[in-house]
Amino acid sequence: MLKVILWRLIGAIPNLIGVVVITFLLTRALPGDPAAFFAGQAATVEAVEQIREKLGLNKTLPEQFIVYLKDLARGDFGLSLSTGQPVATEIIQRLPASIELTFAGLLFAVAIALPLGVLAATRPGSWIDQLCRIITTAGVSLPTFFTGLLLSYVFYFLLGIAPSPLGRLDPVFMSPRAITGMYLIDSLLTGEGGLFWAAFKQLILPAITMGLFVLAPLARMTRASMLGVLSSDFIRTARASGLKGSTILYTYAFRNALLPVVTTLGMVFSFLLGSNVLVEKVFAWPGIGSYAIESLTASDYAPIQGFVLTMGVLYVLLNLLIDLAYALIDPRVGLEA
Amino acid sequence: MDAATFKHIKYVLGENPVTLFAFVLFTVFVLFALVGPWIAPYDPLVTDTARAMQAPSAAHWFGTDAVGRDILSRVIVATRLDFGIAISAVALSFVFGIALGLAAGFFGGWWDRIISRLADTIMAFPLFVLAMGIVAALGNSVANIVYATAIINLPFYIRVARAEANIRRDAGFVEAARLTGNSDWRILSHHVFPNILPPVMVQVSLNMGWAILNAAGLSFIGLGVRPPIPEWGIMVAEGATYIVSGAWWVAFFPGMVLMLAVFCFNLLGDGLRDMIDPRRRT
Amino acid sequence: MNAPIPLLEVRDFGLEFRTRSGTVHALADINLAIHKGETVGLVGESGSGKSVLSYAILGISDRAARVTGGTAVFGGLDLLQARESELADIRGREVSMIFQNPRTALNPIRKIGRQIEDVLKRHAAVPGIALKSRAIEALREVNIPDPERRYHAYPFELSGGMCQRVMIALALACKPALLVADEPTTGLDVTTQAGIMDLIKGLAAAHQMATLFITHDLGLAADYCDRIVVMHAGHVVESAPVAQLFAAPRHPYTAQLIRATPARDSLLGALSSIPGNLPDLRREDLPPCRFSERCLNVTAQCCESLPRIDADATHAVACWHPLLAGEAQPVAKAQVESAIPEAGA
Repeated sequence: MLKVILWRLIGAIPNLIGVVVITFLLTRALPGDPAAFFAGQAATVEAVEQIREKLGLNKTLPEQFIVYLKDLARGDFGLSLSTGQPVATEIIQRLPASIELTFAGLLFAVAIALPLGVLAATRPGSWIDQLCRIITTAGVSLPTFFTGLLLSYVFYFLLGIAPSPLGRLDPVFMSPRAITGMYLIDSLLTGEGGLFWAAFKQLILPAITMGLFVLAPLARMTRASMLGVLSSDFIRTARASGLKGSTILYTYAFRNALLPVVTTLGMVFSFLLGSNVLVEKVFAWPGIGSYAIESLTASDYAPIQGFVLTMGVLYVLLNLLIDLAYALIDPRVGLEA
Repeated sequence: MDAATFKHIKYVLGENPVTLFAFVLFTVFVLFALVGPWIAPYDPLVTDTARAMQAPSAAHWFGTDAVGRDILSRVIVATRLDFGIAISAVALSFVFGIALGLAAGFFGGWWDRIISRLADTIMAFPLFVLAMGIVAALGNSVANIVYATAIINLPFYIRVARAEANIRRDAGFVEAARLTGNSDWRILSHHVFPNILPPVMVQVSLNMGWAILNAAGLSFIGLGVRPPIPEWGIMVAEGATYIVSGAWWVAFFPGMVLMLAVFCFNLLGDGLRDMIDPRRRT
Repeated sequence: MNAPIPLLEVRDFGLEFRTRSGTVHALADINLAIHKGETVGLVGESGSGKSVLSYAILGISDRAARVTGGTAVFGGLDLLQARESELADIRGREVSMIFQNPRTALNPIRKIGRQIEDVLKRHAAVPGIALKSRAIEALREVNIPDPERRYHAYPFELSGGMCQRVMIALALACKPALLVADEPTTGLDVTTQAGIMDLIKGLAAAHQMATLFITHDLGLAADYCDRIVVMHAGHVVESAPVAQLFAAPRHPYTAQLIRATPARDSLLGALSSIPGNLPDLRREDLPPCRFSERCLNVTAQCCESLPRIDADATHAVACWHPLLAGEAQPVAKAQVESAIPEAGA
């Protein structure tokens, strides 16, 4: 098992290197003046020159890359021009909000998609199968930002059951003491029930918006893989052994059907992290996505670079986690490594 | 396209009303894209503060926006831009992705290592985030949205083409073509490429929907298309501020049309898969 | 032979599949009896309905299957009319089944020991702490070396033959009265085949267990069975003790089948193939005797009706013109003797 983990860790290294190289190239090797990018549109000629000096843009590309790596190693992502804060600090401050939202969205999607896929596969041709088919085709067509707006119109403006779709917490509440930075977890740790509820209500709509987008691929894959497993030889054996329907469905079929679903989680996270930006904008969610958008409008490049790098690294790590989860469920993986 | 194929397509469309619906929808969109500016009831750019923020009515089916522009006209005219971005992006990734994938799969060795690494590296990012980074770095323009969308779609084509070329490389008919003195280039273009076309066409259709979503998403966050140019994503962004105060139509109609366009391509992709899949031919 | 009530008695059983390309008349007029401790070989070409019949008996047929009539009485219960819960109680406890391709017939991501425990937990009143030792005991009984260690193995870590032993351990964990073995050695190499067959035979004798051994290999059936039931295109055409069947087959199809079966010392030239193919079972105009279109002795009577096969008779045949003993001597004498070493025993 340890060997498997080690192999996967080593396997993730080229991707991490790729992410760092691409992020570097995005700013240095493209047409245009990187110094001007970093300085922002309002910068004076002197300021641009100063930045050119500071970034070492007069050096060769490989030399610049070494400098970039050294900065990264020290946790230096540069300074944000609009706030004057180090980019790394701001990203670390805002990251928990994005992570909380992403996982809430994933949780919602999984909670709906897996049962839906299983039900559709066990009752082919039934109304639930048709429903599954409609949801999986329509779901991938939903522009997240539009779904978010529709949901807040219906649940906030029309029905009035959702809180104002702005931010993580109603202004009457104080945010909980930062432990993990995730409000739901922190408020539970500090034992503030009212606060937890307020943060939870605020999270529901954005999380559903994100979840709806990835529900479709998850349900589609669950249905297909469950159908495949249910017609396999070992399910016939389980039935011939008189095992209970529930045992056959969960212990035998579902666990096997989960394997391809875990694999699709990689794509699902790509969707989730990407749509994060859009959902954060719609719901004024103070995560790293809205940080990136604020910086875009201010032509403040260092934060965007930091954002792309953070997302890339985060995604590589999530894929690593998915690989490890897969290895945990499937005993056959260890052999191939 | 021979008669049998045509008959099969007719059969699939007849059997599958959903695909037929998508096909009709697609035709309407193409029509909008081609002659949109001539059939739009109003000038999409002319502002008139006297009729700002009007709810849908007989005169303005989709209502008007904050500066009094007719939303229906803007939605229709925007079709050309949104489709244009998506088609150019998919065409670019199709051409380059297939070429790279074929080279990787057919020549193997270093070609394969470098090209596969490139695809893996692109896939190491959440794709929308990478697209944001590319547009931000290249500069905020429509052309750069096209490039960014093309780049993030590249890996899908590379992988399909690479896998197919890999299988076909040692297939009998390629071996035969080689023995009769065909050059690598000829083998690739005449013997390998036609065989990978069907699976790739399904990918193209599904990709179109995704490219539209992607481009609209980028302009929603303020990248690429600049106001007052009509584009679905940016129109939704413009309407976003009014939706919580009840003026739903400003964002609703462009969003709805955007959704329909994506839906249409996804359905077409599914239908195309059925047409191509020989197991479903009867 | 006629005295005791059979363990399993199938009477006038028919089954069809509703598919998009028409109704498949998979089984018709099936009559069959298996007695306690008896090993019955169910023999026929692929597509003759052997597996379909066994699945139907266990109540694990495909969704599209529909019983058209008949009974299948096991221990006083008609399996065809029984509720799913009643059937599930019987499966794995009273009637067990093993399959071909043992490597895919086991859950790939569950330890084999746990899979045996699942069956024990379901059927036998085994206390939780004794489960593991019972599972290991079951593995030991099928001669798996080092069962304590194998308990933790996954199917992919075992050879095909070893997986089939695990399947047998799983099937016999609750000491069933009837084992249905569906081509249990197909896909295994010859030496492993013999090992598996000897194991089944030995365990069946030790536990007084009846076995329904399904195979397309008449030679293998001759080696291990007491009685053979021959199927053709969804019909049972002949049923007889092994020695009698080989010495004097009465159905023309059986005779041809025997001639097409290689014995240990037979030459390739001496083998014959059976002309014609199985009829398409989707046809609406299937003749009463489904062999009539391949038969040399066919008469008008064959196209009007089919004589009902008597499951209780020692040597039963479904044919208007059964071959007489000595007629159309089907095989060389030496061949019969080598094919049935236990004849007369």
